[in-house]
Amino acid sequence: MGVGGGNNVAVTIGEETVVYNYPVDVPASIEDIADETEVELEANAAIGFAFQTWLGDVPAGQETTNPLTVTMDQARSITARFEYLL
Amino acid sequence: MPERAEFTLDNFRGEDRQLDPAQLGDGARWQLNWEIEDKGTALKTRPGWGFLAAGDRYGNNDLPALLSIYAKDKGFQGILVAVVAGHVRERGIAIGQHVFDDGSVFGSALSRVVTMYPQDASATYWPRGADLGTNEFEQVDWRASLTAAFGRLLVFQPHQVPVHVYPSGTANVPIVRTLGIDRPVLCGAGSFTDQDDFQPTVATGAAGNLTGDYRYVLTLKNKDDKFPTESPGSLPSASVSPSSEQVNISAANVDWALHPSSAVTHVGIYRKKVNDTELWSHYYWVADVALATFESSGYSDNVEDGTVLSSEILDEAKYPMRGFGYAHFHKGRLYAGNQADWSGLADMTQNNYYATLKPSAGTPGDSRYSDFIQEGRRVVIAGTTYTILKSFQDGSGNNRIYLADTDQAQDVDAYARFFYTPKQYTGTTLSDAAARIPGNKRTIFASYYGAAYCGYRHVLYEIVPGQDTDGELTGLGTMRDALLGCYEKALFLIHGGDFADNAENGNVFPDWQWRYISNGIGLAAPKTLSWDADGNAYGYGGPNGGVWTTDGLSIRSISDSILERRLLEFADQKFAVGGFDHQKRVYRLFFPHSLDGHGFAFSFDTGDWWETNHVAPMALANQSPVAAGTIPAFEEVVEDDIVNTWTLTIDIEEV
Repeated sequence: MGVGGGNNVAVTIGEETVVYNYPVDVPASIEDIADETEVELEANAAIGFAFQTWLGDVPAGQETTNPLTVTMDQARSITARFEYLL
Repeated sequence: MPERAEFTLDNFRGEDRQLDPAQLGDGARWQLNWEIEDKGTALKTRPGWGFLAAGDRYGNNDLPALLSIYAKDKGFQGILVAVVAGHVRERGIAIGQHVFDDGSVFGSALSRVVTMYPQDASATYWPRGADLGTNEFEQVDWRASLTAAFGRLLVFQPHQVPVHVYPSGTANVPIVRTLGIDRPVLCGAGSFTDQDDFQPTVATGAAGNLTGDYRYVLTLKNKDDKFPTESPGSLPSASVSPSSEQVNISAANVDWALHPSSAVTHVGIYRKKVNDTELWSHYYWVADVALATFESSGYSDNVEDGTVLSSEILDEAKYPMRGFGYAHFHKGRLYAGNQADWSGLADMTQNNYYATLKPSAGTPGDSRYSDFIQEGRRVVIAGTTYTILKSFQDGSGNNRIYLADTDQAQDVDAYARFFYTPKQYTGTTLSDAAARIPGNKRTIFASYYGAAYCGYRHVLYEIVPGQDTDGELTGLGTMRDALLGCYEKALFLIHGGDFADNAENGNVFPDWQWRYISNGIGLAAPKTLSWDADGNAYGYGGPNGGVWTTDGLSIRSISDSILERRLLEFADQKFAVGGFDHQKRVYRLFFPHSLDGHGFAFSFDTGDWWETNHVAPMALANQSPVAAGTIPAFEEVVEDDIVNTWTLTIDIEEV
């Protein structure tokens, strides 16, 4: 489900959600996330795209889970890959 | 990953394997924070506050309660998470290091997690929250817990931190502020209708044994339980003066306690000694009346004075607590105000529970002589009721007290209603106010939310070029004969200038001078601005600014790197509250929440630690459900995992 124009990833920590749009907002680093905090990442595809997979520090077996919830028990670098459909 | 130990409240309160401060050595201090996780079926709550208990090696527990919770037997089935931080100043352990309950040290880490299931809770912790009835709510903000109890909803809140409640749709919700708690902040399209407090209503009755002046308080009791319990006292009644009569006592808003799950069986009735006009002196037990009987018929007191004086005295710990956000001593009287959204001033001087601010030497309604406090929340001047935002004193030692209304500020000692106040700017919300007396001419400064046309604020706007003047002043106060202005990232001192004319005339003299105290560090949390007895100001500048103090000349950090690292966890820092404890000479700071759902309170010693610039979380004593001097116990403490933080890097690619 696209939100606005381009592909984006919505990151929710606690009550707050921040949307990172491609390409203006990424790559981005969110620092000082407390240990064991659960973070939800939702990949939102733009028209003409489809979410394909998560890359990077993703829990095994959840590469295509969307939205993805990860526990911040380590530093993580996660990339959302969208494929062009047309 | 934290391991979690499960244990009951019984165990927690009394069994071994407790955190014994004696193991930490002299000078050790510790604190214990509770939170509620949403794991139960009966506990409809979001993660929120439990209570904070803390103490030190010597068992001191004297911090006003941040929150008390109801934990009746099977009253809820949530999980409480305890975050424990111990700290040792002596034994050769460096400041900033912390210890486990076996005395081992674990570096600079602060916290660890344990969990308990209180389904076997044996004590009743009466709620300090607002009864929201059986209405539906869309949301309660993160600082509150919304809990189903007695078949009704209760919202719990930490003291001095108003919580936000969103009724469902446009519902009008009757709200009962139980046992002295503050009113939640209404949000959304709904509305509140305030019901009477839980407070006895008294009237003279049939012929009887009583003659003189009396006051009453009520408690709720469970006399049938394995562990009989009693609530804190209600608000005191009005004074009643029987003359060879009985006193009839009733109370509104006890019907909720009739719910079978409430386990309330009786109402306890207490009264003061005859003709004792001191409001907070002893209350003597009169009778316990079955709840249903009291609800339907009330109680007629005909117990003779001699009998009452030999009976039990209501524990002072059960006296109703008031959620005052601030207080001033003024000419021998203490004026205490409630919270911002339900604010006002009450003269809490003995004998003057609902007192006038001045001796009644004039015509009622005359603003010069008769400023009446009503119910401790509002003031009536010249027949108009004002909701009080803040009280403050001038900075020139003249010891005058001012009340800031939603649209003006007033000198309660003078005919000040139209005296140098920006009254014409009605319709805006006064966010702060302060007074100074250059040349013995009173000037009251005011800042407004979104009111750029306010003359006084405009002065501040003009004299702080280059600053974030589009933002609001986060703090305003007097510093001797000058004015301390605070932005989120700057502090400045204003001095010189003559008085400002009545702003209705539009004559604001522009000859103020100003200079920075700090350009970069300011006041990030408005409620943290406070002063010590020497006139130094204290405040919280955000995670990067830390906790500071200023004498008006320079700014000095009183928080160290360890603490500042902790401060990074507090997401909504603007809600922090702080104040200077004049008795103990410490500045205290409380964060109601952090990213991981925990809240912490700190105090900042202005003694020797201060000199060495070492500041660390110290013990904050408490008025928690754990009785003073009682050392809470827990079974097992596991690894620290709270302090560590991680970085998440997000990227997107298209293929």
